[in-house]
Amino acid sequence: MSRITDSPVKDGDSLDAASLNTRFASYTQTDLNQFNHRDAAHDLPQFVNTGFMLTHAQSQEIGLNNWKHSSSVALNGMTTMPADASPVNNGSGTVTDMSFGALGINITEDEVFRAYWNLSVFANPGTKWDDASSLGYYVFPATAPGPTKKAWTWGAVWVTYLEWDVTSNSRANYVAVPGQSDFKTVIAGKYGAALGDMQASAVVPADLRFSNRPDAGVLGLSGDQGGQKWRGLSGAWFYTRPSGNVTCYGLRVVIKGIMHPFSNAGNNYLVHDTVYSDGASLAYNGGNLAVLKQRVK
Amino acid sequence: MKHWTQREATTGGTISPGAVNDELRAQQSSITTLDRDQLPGNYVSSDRLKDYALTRVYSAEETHTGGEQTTVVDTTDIPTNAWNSATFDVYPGGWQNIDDDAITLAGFKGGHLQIEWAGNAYIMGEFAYGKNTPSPKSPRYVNLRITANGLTIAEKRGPCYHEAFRVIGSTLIPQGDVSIRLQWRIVEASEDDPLTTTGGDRVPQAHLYSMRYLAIGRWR
Repeated sequence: MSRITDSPVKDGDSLDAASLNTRFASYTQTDLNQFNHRDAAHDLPQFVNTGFMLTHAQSQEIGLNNWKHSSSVALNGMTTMPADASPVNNGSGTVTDMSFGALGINITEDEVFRAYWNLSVFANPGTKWDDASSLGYYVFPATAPGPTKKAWTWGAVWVTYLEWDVTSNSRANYVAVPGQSDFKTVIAGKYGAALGDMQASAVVPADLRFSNRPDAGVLGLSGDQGGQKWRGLSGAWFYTRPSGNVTCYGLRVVIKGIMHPFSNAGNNYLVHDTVYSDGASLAYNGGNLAVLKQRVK
Repeated sequence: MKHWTQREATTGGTISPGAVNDELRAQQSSITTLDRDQLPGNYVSSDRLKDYALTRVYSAEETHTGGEQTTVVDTTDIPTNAWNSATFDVYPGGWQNIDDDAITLAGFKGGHLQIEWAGNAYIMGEFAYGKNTPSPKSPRYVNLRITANGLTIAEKRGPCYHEAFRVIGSTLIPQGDVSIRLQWRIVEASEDDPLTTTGGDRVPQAHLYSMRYLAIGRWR
């Protein structure tokens, strides 16, 4: 890299042929290098206007877009294992997945694939949170006639995550995206996933319960507060190819639940709670799925 | 706009010393004033640019390995229907890094930084409505913030349920490697909180997991 450091001509300087020639000669073709005329010289008019940084963008509505919630899509808690995830649909059986057309989109090594989704949901917790076989409670000291009372763990959730089809544009072979489990791993007799295998997931609470005026570490016996209303959830996934390219033909949001925290042999998991799920449900309306594919350099 | 040509050579034209000299002089003079105006339009593509000349994207599908917080994790007397996570037995108060190691955005050339931090967070909010808790009673939150080179660039009240979160920060950063810290904080227990179950297990209070980030540096 070279830079021209000749001083500028000032008022009163006398210029002759030699000094002019020197000034001209210092800036020759040899010095028209990368720094002077590539990295530092480009401006907006020189940039091509397509596919330079953002190579693909696409978004669409998902679910049933009824923002007054006069009707919604209902999903029952999953009680039989292993259970398949439920794809977000419009309530009439049509899965609202995102198609990338007959050719799909090619995600290369130099790109990051960004996906964002949101959904309007309403969780009905059912009544089994404190069933003896449920994971959903702790037991604490309580006032008379105590001496104990169950309290919600605040752990139960519904989980949404992404699946893609990288086989063909028929979009009949959806699988969980890389880094994301399908929650069918068996952990100490339960079905779920390690927390480290949830890179494309967003959870939303399946329940909401506050203890009513616990006093100095002791619970009261009645009148717990809580109850959920319609609320939103929002998720994001960032994916870069470790090597090579992949062609994606479809992307969709799926739901599983009710899930609950679980630990075993020092590791943390999110597992299906089939007891808690019995009688519970998740209603959802509309949302959005958006993707961006952009160069990383 | 400078002119490249004084006397354009044409087939069958008359050659004179002036024609040659003027042209050479014009070429040399034009070179000294070569600037953006002389560069053709729509010719800079990603193929012509040096890598990271204008922008650089940093991302991780999981941060750090596994995407779980690794600091302030209690592994003693944790119930099986809970995670090895932050309890009030190990949480010292204040802001905590999600991991001992910072995220380094290497080769940052100086300019605009946007960073998105996404994941899921658990908070134990069961006892927020305590008898001795002053009104107005407030839910428990997992406060979240992003620091760049030690300065907070984004701060969010954070989840008050077990739910997904996303924090987005945006700022101008000078040239050089950027050290990013992702941090969380919870409030201390109230006097009404039962902190252990009747079985003697510690009650987990907060945990962050499936965390990932995307950072975009723009310097032109």
